[in-house]
Amino acid sequence: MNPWIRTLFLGFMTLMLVSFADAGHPLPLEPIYHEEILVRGPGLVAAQIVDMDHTGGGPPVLISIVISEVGLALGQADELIPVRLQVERVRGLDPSRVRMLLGENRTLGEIKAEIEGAEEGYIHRGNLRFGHAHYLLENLSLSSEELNTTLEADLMEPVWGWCAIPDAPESGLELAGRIFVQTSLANGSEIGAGSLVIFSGPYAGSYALVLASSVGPGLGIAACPDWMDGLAGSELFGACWIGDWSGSLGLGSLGFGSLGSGCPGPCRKVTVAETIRFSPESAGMPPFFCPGCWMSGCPFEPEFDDVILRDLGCGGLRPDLGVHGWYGGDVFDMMVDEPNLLSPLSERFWI
Amino acid sequence: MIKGDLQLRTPDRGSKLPASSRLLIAVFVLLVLSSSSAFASDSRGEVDDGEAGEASGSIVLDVYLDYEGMALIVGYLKTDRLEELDFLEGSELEYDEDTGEIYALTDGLTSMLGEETRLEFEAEGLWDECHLAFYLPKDATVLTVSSSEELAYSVTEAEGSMLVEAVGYEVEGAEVTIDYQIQG
Repeated sequence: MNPWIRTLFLGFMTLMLVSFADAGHPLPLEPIYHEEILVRGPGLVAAQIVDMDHTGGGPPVLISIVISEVGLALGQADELIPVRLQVERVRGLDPSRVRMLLGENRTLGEIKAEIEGAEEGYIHRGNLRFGHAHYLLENLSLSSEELNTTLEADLMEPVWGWCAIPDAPESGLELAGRIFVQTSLANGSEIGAGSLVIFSGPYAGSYALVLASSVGPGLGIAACPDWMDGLAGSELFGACWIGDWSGSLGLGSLGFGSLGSGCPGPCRKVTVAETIRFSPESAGMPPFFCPGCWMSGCPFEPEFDDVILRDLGCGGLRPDLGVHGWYGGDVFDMMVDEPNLLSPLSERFWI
Repeated sequence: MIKGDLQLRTPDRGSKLPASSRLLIAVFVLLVLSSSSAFASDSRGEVDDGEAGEASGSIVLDVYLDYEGMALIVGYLKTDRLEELDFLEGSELEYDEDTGEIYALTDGLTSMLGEETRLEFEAEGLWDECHLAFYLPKDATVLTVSSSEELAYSVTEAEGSMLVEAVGYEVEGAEVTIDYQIQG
């Protein structure tokens, strides 16, 4: 495909993502979360995950949504597939115990008290819609470190397929793939990136993922006071894909290289955290019109250990390779051809 | 070797575009971004005005059924139209608006058709996220399942129950009907 057409197409898909995210809705948080959010900023998901053990007190609820994200997956053939990811935190209940309570003709209040008084722990469960396919998440692992959260899970699907009644329901689910997502959060902007592999079926293959929270301020604009606020995330995503064609209109040219200085250069390497923390507000002007970086080269080179951006296709693989324009396709080519160059994240899936 | 490959590949990526064209494209993207945002804001405004009653929400429910068809519904529900939800009709209900936590006790989900039991769950409205898990007694044999077009369902055995699980996004009217029979 012509790189310009592909670039425009990917840019368009970026806009689609912005629209998806904008259609997001605020999710209520358990009371315990509110203080946490005030302290940590408006990012919801990380605050929830950080606090998912409920060590801070407050009544735990039976079920809460801890991750709700929308995004795109980029395949090795440059195909883009819409993705939705949801992870719930659920207090485990024994169905037979619930049935026993029902059989005792107790009132709802009594049943509730029994359930809340029980000592069952919490689990995480989730599901992923990938194009037209659905997968359930099992062996789900969530971890949090500072403002980064990591999700790893198996993708499962019913042995008999969806929307089918099995002859042997005990056959259950079978492994269909694996997902890995890292989410970073700062100043209310949240972006997740990672990898996904599907073993069989029409979607079989490896993909890079870009996800934004559908909850409040993610890539989108939903909870931002005006559209400029939303640009931080959308630019981040958009620039990742369009960064190639200008060599200067990549992340660096959007002002990310001038963090803390109000835009004028010199551009320098920035970390993922710095990049995501950047916002038009902090620069005092729209990043698109950032002097000093606009069309001036200003090559952005994420640090080598910046897993997220490198896997987005934004990052130079190594500074000494001299690659200043990155394209999703390039990175995918490299992922396939040169897995040893990949970040630890990608190595999990492309070796 | 590797380095050479990269250098061969990258130059033919579009770095040849004139600066004016780059500027044009950038401005175009910026304009579309802004118009997209404005459009989205307008759309949201319409919803907020409550004209169509299509306010979206989230629904994540676990439904536990006993042998007599009594159901305990627990989970997370975010909607401002709670009173319009069919599945809650006639139920004993506790709902926390802040957390979205819901407990409901009802026998209105099920009906008997001879030896068969029919479970009908219906939640009107537009649901951004929908995840329903129906825990039927282990002895239940699921005969038929039907659901809203946007929902995908699975039937498995889990946790000493027959589990019918339905998941979907942007679901307009979440409906699940399960016909099952208790063995013995």
